Amino acid sequence: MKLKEMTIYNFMPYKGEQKVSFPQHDTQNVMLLFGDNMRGKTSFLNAMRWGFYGLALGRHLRAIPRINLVNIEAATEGDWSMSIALKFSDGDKGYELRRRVEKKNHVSQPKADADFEESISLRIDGEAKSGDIIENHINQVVPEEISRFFLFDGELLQEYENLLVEGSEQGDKIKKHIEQALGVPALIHGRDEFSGLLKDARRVQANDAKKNIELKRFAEQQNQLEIKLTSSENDLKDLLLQCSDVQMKVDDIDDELKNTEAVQRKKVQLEGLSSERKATESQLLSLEDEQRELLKSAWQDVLYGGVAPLLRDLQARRDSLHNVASEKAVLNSKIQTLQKSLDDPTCPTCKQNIPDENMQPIKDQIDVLKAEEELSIVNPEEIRTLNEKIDKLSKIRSSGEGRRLLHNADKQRKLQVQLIRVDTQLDELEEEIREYDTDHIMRQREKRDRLVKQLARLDGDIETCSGKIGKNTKEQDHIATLISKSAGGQGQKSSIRVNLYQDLESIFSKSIDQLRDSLREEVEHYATAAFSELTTEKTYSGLQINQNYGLSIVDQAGRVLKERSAGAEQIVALSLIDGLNRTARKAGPVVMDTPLGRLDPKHRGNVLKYLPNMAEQVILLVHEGEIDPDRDIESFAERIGVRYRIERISATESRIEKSN
Amino acid sequence: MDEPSRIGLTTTTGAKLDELLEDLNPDQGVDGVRLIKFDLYRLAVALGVKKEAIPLPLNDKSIPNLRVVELDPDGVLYTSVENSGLVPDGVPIYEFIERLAEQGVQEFYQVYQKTGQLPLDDYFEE
Amino acid sequence: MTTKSNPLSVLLDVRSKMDTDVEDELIKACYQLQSVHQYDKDRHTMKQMQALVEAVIETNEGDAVL
Repeated sequence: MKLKEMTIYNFMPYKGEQKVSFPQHDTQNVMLLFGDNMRGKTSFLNAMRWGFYGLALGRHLRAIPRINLVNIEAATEGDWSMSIALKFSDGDKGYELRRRVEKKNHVSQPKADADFEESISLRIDGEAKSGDIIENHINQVVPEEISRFFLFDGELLQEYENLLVEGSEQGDKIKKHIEQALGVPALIHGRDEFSGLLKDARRVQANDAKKNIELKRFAEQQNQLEIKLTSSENDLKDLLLQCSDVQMKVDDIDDELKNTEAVQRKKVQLEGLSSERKATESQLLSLEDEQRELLKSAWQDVLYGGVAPLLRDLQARRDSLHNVASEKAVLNSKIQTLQKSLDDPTCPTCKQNIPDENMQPIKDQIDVLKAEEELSIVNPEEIRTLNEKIDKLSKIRSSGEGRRLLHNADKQRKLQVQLIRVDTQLDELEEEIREYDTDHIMRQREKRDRLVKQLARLDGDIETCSGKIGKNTKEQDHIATLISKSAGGQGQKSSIRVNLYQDLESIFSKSIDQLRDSLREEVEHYATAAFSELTTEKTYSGLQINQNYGLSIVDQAGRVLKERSAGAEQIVALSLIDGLNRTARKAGPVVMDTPLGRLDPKHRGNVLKYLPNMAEQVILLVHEGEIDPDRDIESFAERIGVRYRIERISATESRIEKSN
Repeated sequence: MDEPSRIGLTTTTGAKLDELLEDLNPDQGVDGVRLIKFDLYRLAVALGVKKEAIPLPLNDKSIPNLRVVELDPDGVLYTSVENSGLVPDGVPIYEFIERLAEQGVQEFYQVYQKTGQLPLDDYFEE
Repeated sequence: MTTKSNPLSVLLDVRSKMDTDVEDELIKACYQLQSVHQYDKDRHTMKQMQALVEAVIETNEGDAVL
């Protein structure tokens, strides 16, 4: 089967009509669809799935109701119609499929699935097919049971990655998937229906046996067993319902808890910010105290500014007065000395009399000096006052309060800004955390634990019940055989019938087992081939699926390897997918969601080389940065036939655009 | 000239001073440094001297509840104001100081009401 | 056919290894019936298979009586 084109109309985020063409070339057979978020890519996958089968899957593989499939924007504008058109070919036939929903006329605001009407049309080579056989035609080409093997969503990939983990679940899952890969519902239906017919036949046989005295006992036993069986089957139905119900609850809680890691981190951030806030507030309080302290003595600093020059002047004046006073003293002393010579005109050195003619210059000098001396006026009062003032003014001390106050104000301003910033961040965080109440989370975890325990109990009950049913059926077979072989029963129609159904059911059942077992080998074979090309580990030789459908990696000697290198899970998943795909189907496309998302760089090269060979058409829905065709190996770049990109227009609208 | 031994502020301005103190000080019961009337009074006077203010005589009687010996124990205010060259003849220094305080506190109050804070940058810029 | 091994041949192969009175024809007929309708939305195959089996029983009885 080869995809040609898909036309999306109002499907999930894709508003209006959007068309995608698939690569038709033999070697350029890869289509890349780049999308930033999961939603756009998953929706693309769902568009295809819904187009083919009328089913879109959400988390935990639950069906998405119709109301959530119609684009919200379009719906608010009153357009409640949505459709997917697929053009594809199979062999030499061309198919045109169109599936559409529209809200029912009488409904004004659709809510439930029933408020919508679904219609489907199919043309094969231009010829329209009637409604009741359309589904049949589709399944001939792309059977629904195996659709998961070509529409690979992220969840399935994750599931497969976990398959390397030992456990009973592992074997069951693989067994189930291989059975699905058989793609032969005919056998399974046959077996199930024969089983039902056998039950009826036994009843009839038992009734006949009642008429026979010898066989009456058997008849009654058979009756009893029949009643027990019905009761057990009802119990089983109940238990399975309970199981899926509880599982859904667990899934819901898991989804909720996944968000708590983010919340924990936010709470830690919150605590950090709260401490920062407290510290900042405390610093501010200290600064306010410091400010008040400084204000108490700032008045001195203020006055000091004006006082300092005044003080200098006063000190200068006092100094000059002191100078004058000293000068005066010096003059006086000189005058005194000269006067002494006048009064006692004896030379102190040679003891001779100073002659009269020499006296006059001395007198003159004394006069000059006296005149000078008189000019130097020193007011002691003034000096005293000056000293007093200087003393008083000197008391004005400055500790630089002004400068320190300015500095303090600056620091306060900066801290205020910081406080505002922290408060804003706190508000944002608190708003985000408010949505996640930790007490609630705690309770949810406890609830989950209880539910998981309940699941385990239910599993046990289911096993017991199944065992009862199995035992019961065996006993019924036994009695049926006894009746058949008895003299009274042999040859009876009812016994013949029972035998026939017993054998037919057995034949179909054994055939399923045989086919599945042979397929197991086939899957193993293809998966190993893929694995050996993908792995970089020299010791890894291939994959093994054992009798119990357990999956493991083996070396050249066929020994199971317990140790696993990083990235092995993803490689195993891809190999298994490839194996199942090749076994299950003839040629057809493979659509893979984020195939390299969790892949380590070591294996990237090999995987990119291999992917284009996995199918005739390979459609990869990738994350930005997951594949950079220009950076990644050239041989991959050459295989790309067409590139698209999901542009996010808004939260409710995206567009698929061709890109280079 | 007789120097008064007690000075103060008018009733209105006195009330303003109390309000300022309440706003600037930490809340009741909270530990911390507290400003008192003297602190702002002195600061008002000092800033008045710095900017060479010419305050008018009080328009109302003052409530003289501040003792000069407590307000100005070292006579620093007295000396600064005396030597500032601002005091008109015949006015006692402390009376002039009272005028400076009255005007200064009013200005504090006015700017605080307007902006929610005292403009320290203006008062203390180098 | 989507598998390499033909389901019908497997059915006949299993039958041949079993000690049973079931005839190949019956198996073929049942399988055909299932195969044609395997993707139908509403299947009535159970009733039709029952009819096939009843026919065989009648025929055999008829033979036995004879």
